[in-house]
Amino acid sequence: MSMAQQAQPPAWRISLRTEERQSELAKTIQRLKKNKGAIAGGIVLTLLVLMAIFAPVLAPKDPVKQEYSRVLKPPSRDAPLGTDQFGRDVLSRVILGARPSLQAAALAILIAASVGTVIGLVTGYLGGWIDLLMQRLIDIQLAFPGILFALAIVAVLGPGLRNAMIAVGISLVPAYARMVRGSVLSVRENAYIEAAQVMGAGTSRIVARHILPNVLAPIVVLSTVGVAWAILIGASLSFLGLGAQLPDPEWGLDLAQARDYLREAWWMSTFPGLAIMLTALSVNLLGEGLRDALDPRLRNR
Amino acid sequence: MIVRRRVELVEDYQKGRMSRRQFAKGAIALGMAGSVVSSIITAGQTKAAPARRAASYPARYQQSGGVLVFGAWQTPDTLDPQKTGLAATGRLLANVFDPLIWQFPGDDTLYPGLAKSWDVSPDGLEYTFHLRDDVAFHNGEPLNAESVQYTFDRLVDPANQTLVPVPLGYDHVEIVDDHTAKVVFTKPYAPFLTLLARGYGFSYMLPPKFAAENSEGMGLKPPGTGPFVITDYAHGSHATLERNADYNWAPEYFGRQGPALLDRIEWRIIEESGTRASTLESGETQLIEEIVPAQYESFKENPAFQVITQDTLGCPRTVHLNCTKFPTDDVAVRHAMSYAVDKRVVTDVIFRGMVEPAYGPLEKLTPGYNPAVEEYYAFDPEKAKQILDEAGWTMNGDYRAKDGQELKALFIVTAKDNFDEPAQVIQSQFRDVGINLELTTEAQPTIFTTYNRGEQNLANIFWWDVDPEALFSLYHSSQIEQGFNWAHYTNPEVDKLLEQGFIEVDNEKRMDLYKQAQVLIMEDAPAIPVWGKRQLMAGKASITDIKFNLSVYPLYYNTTLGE
Repeated sequence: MSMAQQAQPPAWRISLRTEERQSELAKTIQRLKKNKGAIAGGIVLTLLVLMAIFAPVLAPKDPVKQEYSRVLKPPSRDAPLGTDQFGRDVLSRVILGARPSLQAAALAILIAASVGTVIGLVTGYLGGWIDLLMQRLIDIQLAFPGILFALAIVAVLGPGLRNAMIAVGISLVPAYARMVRGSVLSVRENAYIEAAQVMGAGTSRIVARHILPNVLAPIVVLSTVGVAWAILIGASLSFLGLGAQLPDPEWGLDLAQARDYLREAWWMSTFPGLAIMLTALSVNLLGEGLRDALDPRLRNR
Repeated sequence: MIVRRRVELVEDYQKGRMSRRQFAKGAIALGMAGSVVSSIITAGQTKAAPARRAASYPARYQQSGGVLVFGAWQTPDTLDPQKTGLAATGRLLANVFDPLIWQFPGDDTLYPGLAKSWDVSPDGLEYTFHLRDDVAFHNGEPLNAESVQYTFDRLVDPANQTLVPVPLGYDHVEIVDDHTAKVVFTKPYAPFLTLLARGYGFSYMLPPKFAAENSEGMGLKPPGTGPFVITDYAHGSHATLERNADYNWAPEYFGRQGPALLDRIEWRIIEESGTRASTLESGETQLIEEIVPAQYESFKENPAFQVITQDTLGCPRTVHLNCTKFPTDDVAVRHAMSYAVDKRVVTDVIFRGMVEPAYGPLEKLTPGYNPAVEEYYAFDPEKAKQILDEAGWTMNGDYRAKDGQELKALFIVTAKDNFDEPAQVIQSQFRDVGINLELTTEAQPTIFTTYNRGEQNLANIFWWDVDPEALFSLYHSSQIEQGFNWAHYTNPEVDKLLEQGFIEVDNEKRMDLYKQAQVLIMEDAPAIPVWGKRQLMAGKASITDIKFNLSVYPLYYNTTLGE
């Protein structure tokens, strides 16, 4: 109680900050609305998420049921997106594949963003030997290509979509840590941080109340771009047999399985591929819109 | 003892303590499956497929037998018959060298080759070979008893670093007279004659003078006694085989004598399967090997081409059921699994009729195959359900359970081994009877260690061999944890039969031992045979008469382009 009162900045400062923040959010939304790409991306992404949520209701067939009397059939009324080499319904697999694909991407980004942000905040604000140590560790990790690093982690954790996504999340941590640290370095030089320090606010309070809100925008942007990347890398890992496990539908895995049938059954690879592309594209468009909307240098346009 | 070393060998190779060559040597010396060895070896190679110039050989096609341009799938490591186990080399050398005795797939007859006749002593310790006196090597050396002695001396001398296995119990070769040689054993080794006819390793007689003076040359242009002479060889690229005009000692099986019909074989190495198929389509080659299912269908339907198939010997493509791990340690579960698999779906839907179902632990053409195995486990999902019901596995949701434990098995599939899709079919068919099958993939060679540790319930395996002794490697209890008994299967009766099989000299009695063993194995169901291995080639429709030796290497002696 007393701590909180001590840490309160002067009243005029609070009101100014709150007004600034509210109008800032409204302006951001305004700017976002003007960006047609971002709107389109948002709509498609919403539809994909809805599809994932209602997948069991939407899918016309059991996605793992093998029907040998209708293998490799092109799209028709019976199977709108065709059937695969086991006679399974491609449409049902694409619909149900949305769940693991999107869930996995969300998990990866959650790990990367939370761990990366904490590391970035701590190292950026505290500096000193912790910063030095963490930065060198991050240097080491950055020396590996992301996919290679993810492969190494999967090798330790064992195959499976969840492990693959933990791997992807961990491999994305340095990007967040570096970026957050950079933002923190500039934010902490602001007069209001100094003021908070002078007024006796504790480190954790300053970081949580005064620094984090100011570095949130770049984290949001990085996450939208990262989702697309996580889906693609998750697909790559499934493609290599290290991600989702058979016979469950997953876009990346289905794409990998369809590879041998490219010449004779285009529909097997086209539709899961299209789903991956749509997701990546919509998230990217939204992310780009957010970046433009949040970039201070573009604010006056 | 031998067996223990197999595992160490694979581990050493994994850990980088051995070179690829050393590994291959050890592996082959221990009699590991040729394909297993070759796949490990090729896995270590990173050489890109050579895209060779599209040289053409016009006009000459029309003369006599013509020139056959052949698209091979793999680069031979060496052409020295005693220093490799690769099929790529074996398939080339089968046309350059002759064995003492011939045998052919699906035909139990032993045909005289370089040996006119032979006698086996009643105790099975001495084999006397009476050689032809009219045979000469490509370099002019005559074939005589010294050649036989030299071939075996070279094989066993460690200084020569040979890679092929020495027959168990082999002692020495005695020269009786110029054209009579006696091979002496310290203990009987019944598969010896079949292995001599195998067309691999010590099957091939070597020219003593050339090999002694020019050891390197044996790996490049080794002179044999066969119907074709190697006149040009460029590693990783091509080889040229010219007809041997003096050849006059073909086995009776071919139905004629005299030189081969083709003038020449151009052996081109084209490692990528799609490229190989397109060279055949464009006419750049007339014959290719190792085709894939989609190519099989299109070549089969196109009247300009033919598909040449030959079933192989040894053990078929099989799923080993781990007899020591829950739930496959329950024989009822293994029986139910055996009834639940519809092999026809694998052969007809996945492989589109390119292969045939397998029924027993041995391939049909292997000597000693017992047709009684075909009576077992015809596809019957109702029976599978009934067996599980009776054994107390009751449905609980999608899958069965007993005493609170779900009927869930783990299939660790060998990566890049053509088993991914069949495994998914098996998974789906198990689901139909209430068995939950989890699939994971692991690559060679680490998967051998995993299989030997018994982490899996199901493992996929196959074996190249020409003799029913193959059963020893896959089903004898001494091969558990350190060999290829990935079913971790023990049956003292089977053990005893397989041990007797090594020493029984009377062939009929010997085959009988293996026939009994096959039935016992079927009863215990440590394995689900799925489909038979096949040599698959595609060629121009006009090509005639390609035969195969016991190793299922093609023989082009009677072949013509038919134009």
